[in-house]
Amino acid sequence: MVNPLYLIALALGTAFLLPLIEKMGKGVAKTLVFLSVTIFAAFPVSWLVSLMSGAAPLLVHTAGFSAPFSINLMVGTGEALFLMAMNTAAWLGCLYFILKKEPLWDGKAQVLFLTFLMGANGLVLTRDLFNIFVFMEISSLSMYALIAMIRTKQSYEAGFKYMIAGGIASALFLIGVMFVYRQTGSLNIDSIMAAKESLNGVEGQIALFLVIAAILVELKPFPANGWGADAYEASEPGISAMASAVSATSLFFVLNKLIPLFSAPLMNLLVITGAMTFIFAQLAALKQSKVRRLLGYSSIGQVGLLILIAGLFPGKAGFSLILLLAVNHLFSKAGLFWIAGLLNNHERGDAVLIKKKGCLVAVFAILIAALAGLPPFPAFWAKWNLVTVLGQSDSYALLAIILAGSLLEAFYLFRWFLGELRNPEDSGDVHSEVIPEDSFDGEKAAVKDMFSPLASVNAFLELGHKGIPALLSAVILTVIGIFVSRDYLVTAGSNPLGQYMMFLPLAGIILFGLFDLIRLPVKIQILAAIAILGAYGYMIYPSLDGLRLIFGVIFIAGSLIQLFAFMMRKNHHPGLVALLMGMILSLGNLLVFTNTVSFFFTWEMMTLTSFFLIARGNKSSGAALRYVVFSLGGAFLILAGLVLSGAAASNSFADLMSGAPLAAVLLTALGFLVKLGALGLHIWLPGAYAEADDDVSSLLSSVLSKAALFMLFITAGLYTTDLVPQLSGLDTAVLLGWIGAFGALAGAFMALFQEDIKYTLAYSSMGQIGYMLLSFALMTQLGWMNSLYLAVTHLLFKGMLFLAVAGVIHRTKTRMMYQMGGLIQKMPISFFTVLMAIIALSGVPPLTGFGAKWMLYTALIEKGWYLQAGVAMFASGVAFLYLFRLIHVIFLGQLKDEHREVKEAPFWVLIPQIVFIIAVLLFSMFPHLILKPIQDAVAVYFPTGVSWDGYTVLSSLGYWNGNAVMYVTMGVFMVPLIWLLIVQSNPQKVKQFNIVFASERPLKPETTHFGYNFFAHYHRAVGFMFKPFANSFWKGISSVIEVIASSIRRIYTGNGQTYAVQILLYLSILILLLRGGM
Amino acid sequence: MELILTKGWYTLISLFVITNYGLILTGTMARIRARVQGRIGQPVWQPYIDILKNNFKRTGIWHGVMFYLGPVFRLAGGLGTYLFIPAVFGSAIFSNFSFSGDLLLVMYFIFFGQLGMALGAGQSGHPYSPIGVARGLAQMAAFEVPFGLSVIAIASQYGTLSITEIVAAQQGGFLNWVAFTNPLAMIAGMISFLGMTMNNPFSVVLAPQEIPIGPPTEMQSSFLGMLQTNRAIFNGAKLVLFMNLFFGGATNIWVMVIKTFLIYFYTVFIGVSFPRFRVDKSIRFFLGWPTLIGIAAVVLQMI
Repeated sequence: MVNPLYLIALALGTAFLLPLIEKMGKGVAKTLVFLSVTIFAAFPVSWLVSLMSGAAPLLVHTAGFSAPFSINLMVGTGEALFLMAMNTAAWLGCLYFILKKEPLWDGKAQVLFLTFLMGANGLVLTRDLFNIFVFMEISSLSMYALIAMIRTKQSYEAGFKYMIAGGIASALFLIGVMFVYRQTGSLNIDSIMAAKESLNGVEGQIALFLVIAAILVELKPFPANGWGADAYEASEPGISAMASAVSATSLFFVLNKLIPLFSAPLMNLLVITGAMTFIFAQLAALKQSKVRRLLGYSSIGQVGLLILIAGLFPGKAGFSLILLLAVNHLFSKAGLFWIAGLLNNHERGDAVLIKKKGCLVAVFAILIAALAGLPPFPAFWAKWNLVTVLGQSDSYALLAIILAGSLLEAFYLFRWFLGELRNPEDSGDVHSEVIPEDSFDGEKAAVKDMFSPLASVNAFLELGHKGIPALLSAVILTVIGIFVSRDYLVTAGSNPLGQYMMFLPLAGIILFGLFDLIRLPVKIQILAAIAILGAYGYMIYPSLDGLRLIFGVIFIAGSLIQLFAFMMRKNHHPGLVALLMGMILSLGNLLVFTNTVSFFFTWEMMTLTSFFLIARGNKSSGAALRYVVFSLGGAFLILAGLVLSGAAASNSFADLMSGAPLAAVLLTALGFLVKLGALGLHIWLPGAYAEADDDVSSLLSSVLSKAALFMLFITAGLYTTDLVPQLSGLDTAVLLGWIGAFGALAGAFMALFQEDIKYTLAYSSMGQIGYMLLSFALMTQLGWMNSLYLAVTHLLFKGMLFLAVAGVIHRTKTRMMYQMGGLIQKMPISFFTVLMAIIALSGVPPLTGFGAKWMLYTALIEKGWYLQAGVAMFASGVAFLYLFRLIHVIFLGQLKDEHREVKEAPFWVLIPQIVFIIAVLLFSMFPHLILKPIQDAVAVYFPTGVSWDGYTVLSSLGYWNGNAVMYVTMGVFMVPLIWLLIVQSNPQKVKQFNIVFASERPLKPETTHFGYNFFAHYHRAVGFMFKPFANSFWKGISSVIEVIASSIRRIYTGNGQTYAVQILLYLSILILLLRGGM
Repeated sequence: MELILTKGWYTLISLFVITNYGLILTGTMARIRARVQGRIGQPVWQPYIDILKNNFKRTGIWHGVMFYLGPVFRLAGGLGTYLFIPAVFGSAIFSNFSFSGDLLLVMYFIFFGQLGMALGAGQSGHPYSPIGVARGLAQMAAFEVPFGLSVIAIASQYGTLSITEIVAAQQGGFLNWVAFTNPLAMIAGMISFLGMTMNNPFSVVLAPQEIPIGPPTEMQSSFLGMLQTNRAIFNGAKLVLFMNLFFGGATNIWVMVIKTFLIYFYTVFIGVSFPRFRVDKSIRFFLGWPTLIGIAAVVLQMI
């Protein structure tokens, strides 16, 4: 192996010669420094290769003596891995400055950079306690100067404050080292470890405490970290990247190196410090509007998490976790700092329109997702592992802190991401419909074409070479992520092919991402996606049966048909098809997952891809943020449930079902309910469905919404647990039933009072989901049959509605129903679709919807849930109201002047509608086609109470013959029709305004069309009951968190002296804690 | 084949009876109402004249396909609703097509005609049509609540949703009627029936005394004739349904005539005695006491 001393020599040599070389030309100097840093990055690779091929760890003695008389350096696997990551990041950082043509990247800065890098490398390599101090000083001093490099008042101040803190830390460290030396007689870490007992006394512990405290201060613990945040904020982002990725990582490595020396009370200090720092840093970041400071707090928090793990799990077990987290944090954070540098803004969201740069957005998205701990990135696996282990050791408080902190972190990171991407017209906090101002002078409020291509993208060129370091970080993270995922997902032995299937969503994203790079038109991509999806469906079909088959039809066939609607798009939509594929294949994989890990991976992949799909909407940033926060919150609840039940540790999903404690059941149920959009947890739903692109909305509402329902079915056994053992019958299922019933009612009422057609449909989905939940919760054969039947028919009619409406919006350029009207003449096919859909939805015979109503009430009455049946009936009546309003206000009434030239919806959106209409008619005529398979699927779980007599379904209460109903209806319809055709064979067609208007003349369509505030009387009668209570509740929660966050922020005064006092106070508290524990 | 022919023949008889009975009933009630108001009133056979006149008008206008189909939907809804109800207990002729489905089918088939009619009227472009429809639907969504609850109470009382079986369970003396075995359900149901018939105090939906409002606004000639025919049949169907649910059904046609006459008379009696509710008031009314009575009926079944 190559001697690490060469690295130090190289750095120092280049640094000393640089002023001379710079005389030969700045380019030469830059090249030389870049080459040196390249060598820095190459060294650890060579070490790792040798170590992997069996070489022993390298110990280097300096000055010809052996330890403890000389300083020695060690290269083991840990050192090599950390250095490889750090030095690669440093190399990318160097590249960033060169590509950015940063004027400040002059000789002085480069010298400082080299000494800084050398110091950081030394910290990792050295095995000498005093030497640690030396390297710490070298790297810190360089860092102070680098921070001040941009020569602003703020940066000088920040560098100085950093110096104060660093000074205190160094002094403490030095005193500590002296005492350690006095106790053990050695400065060599290995010798000290050998003489560890001599440190057991109070003096020894104090000595170690001083050492540990010094390193902790350098790692910016809460609350003594204001100076750190100031430094991150004030320096050039490239330097902040290095401070976070290289400096913090190397210092953390030192801490980790010393861990074997520490006793249990000291370890507890680490855990407490880590946990506090993690959660409070996330809270502090929450209120940040300055991007760099936000990233700084995030860094502090991540390092806190590392400290926590180091304190909890010393040794090998912890090391792999630490490595995953550290590498993930290092590359993602550095990449984000670089992106912040490219956006060149201080405040969140004031650099708009990077949306046009598809590749940059992709890189940004990858880095954010990695930092937020989403799959497939390493942090996801680290957190999964950590949480599992915590659950096994019953550390529930830490579990809660980690999950809550992660959620906060995801929230502010995605808020930043969405803020940068958002359209200037998007206010960012739109969570309900916005009614435009009246415009009676003939001018319509301009609504942008919802399908307009975001922008045409020339990906690489627009990313620009400046983005390469961030791009490379993203690539590195993705590659590492995929390899780590392979380790977790593919377990030896059983069915490796099935396990590799879990990678299909990822493969889909990458493949279609490449298609975007070669600028393949969206139409061709969609065709390819349809083909792949067809093949995928064919592939998994044999492994599906019963419930899985029914949901398979919904997920795969339902999506496949709706993909045709996307063919209406023109040109390029970078990322669209990739994300669609990712989402649909994740849904498919949900059917075939084999163990707990693959379930959670798939679940989070689905969340991630659907979030990015929603975020593509024109004004969807607020809605997308809610979606992702609630989805991740739900996912964390599920995770907690999995952990508490032991299913996470055993990696067998079935363990969730056997003897899970009530807390686990409730958490899991709550998690699925969040994703389902059940009442109270639904506030993400309307915005997400309404603000996504119109064709995406259709897919989300008709297909994605069933994912949580599927999981409820899979885990159904859980919910019959008694909540209160003394009250038999009060089980989770009863609770679910009531939530479902009131969800149906609230959804219907909210839909009633909307003017925006997409919000109407979104709330309608919420109501329908309520019915599904209610039927599911019955836990009887008929109830489950109905839930499944609704799931299938909801796919059909909600797909029809959303797609027909997508066509209408596409043509009329408005989403406000009252601005439409009379479109039946112009768009007869869309009208027919909507007509069929509302009949099917409302439950009017003879179409499919009646089957659902029949089964629902029969099942409810059979079970004795009379009051729930009453609520459901009320909801169903109200649903009828909004459905009529929807079809009337859009298609009937007065045609507006600006819509006289409107054409029928594009051919491609009509295709799925027609397919769905045929399906609805078929299932209405022959209900057994769909009911029998559903009955078979459910038969496994419940004793059968439903029988068939020809076409008649018989329950214990009543009967229904869909076929006969259809014939009778056709008969009673045909007779009057024929009569009318005879007596009224040649009526006179009249013009639009030729109506019997009582002593008035219709002025213009706008004043004659009755559409706005259609159910004003209903609102007057009962509207007070349907205020957005849930919204206010969640707003209250978020404002409480914000108040806490702002009060935390107050301690960061920006005053160096205050910071110094804080450090001293922090140390006093630590020592008090320690004394308490000794 | 013979079976189908017989069924067709029976259906025609059944429809003939209910249509004529419905028309005469409408005429009679109009006359009763006039007498209460101190007028002589129209002849009892006036509904026949109206329908014939409208059907033989020389001219007719239309506003589009949906407008044309609206009355067809409406009449189909009325016919269908009637045909899914067994009108006379134990009669082969008047059992209609009740084998197609139970009470739930009837409850939901009522919407079929209303929806189609509302859509047809909507295409006329006349603003008063949808105003009336919106009022009607809003009121309907309210009175369906006590009605639904009373249906649930009956279904749980007899353990069936089949109308025939509900009637069968009430045979053997008037004390077996739901009206006496489950009076709360009957009260809730009969109050909703007031809303369903759209007589006073719930008549603002059609506002018969003022400017025409609601679906018929733009309808004329044979379109209007068809609506009038439907009103007779649909009224008959609803009366028969309530008779079956609460008053023991009928074992022969005369019992049916007497019982339905009395049920209808009750709505007219209330109608001429009370002033009219505004829509939002009537919504609150139905969601108030009638709903509480319905809930009480259901809760009684639960204990």
